[in-house]
Amino acid sequence: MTNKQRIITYSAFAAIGAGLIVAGMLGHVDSAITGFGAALLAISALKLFKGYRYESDPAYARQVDASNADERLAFVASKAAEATFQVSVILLAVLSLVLRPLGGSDTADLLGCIMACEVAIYWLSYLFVSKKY
Amino acid sequence: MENRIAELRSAHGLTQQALADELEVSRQTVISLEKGKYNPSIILAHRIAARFGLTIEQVFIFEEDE
Repeated sequence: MTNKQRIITYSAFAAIGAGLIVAGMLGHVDSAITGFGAALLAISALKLFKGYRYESDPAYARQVDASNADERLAFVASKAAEATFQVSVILLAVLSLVLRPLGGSDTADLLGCIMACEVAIYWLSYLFVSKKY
Repeated sequence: MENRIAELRSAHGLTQQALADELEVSRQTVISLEKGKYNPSIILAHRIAARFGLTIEQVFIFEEDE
């Protein structure tokens, strides 16, 4: 996505967010949807600020381009994703085992299924990626 | 893996930011490379070596037990 496309996309998101806030103020939607609109507007405004800064500040644009192409940052993101996966699987397994004797067998089953799905998706991804490389 | 990036950068009168700009990486990456905390890809290693007019083996010191 180019920076101009990003600005157009986040302008649309900001408009949707503002629309939801107005709808909430007029009583057409509940407070949860209004809150979602406010969050969407805030995030979009931040992204738009960055997008316009990228257009007007060549030094910032160079810095952003370098960050996007930086192989170490990609490596760090990959490591973080790996750790997140490992922690989530262990956490789900522990919660599933702990909740069962405490009377939460339905929740324990659900968490166990989620853990199994995560592991299955990992193996499918592994097969796909190992064929690609 | 140890390397001579800091030594070569100083010898060529470059700041970490200047080298980062030339290599199109962040300054933090240059810092991590110099400290030996991050091992670069073969492509980045080649670009670093080429920047100093050396071969990869002359910049990066590979030890067998690594």
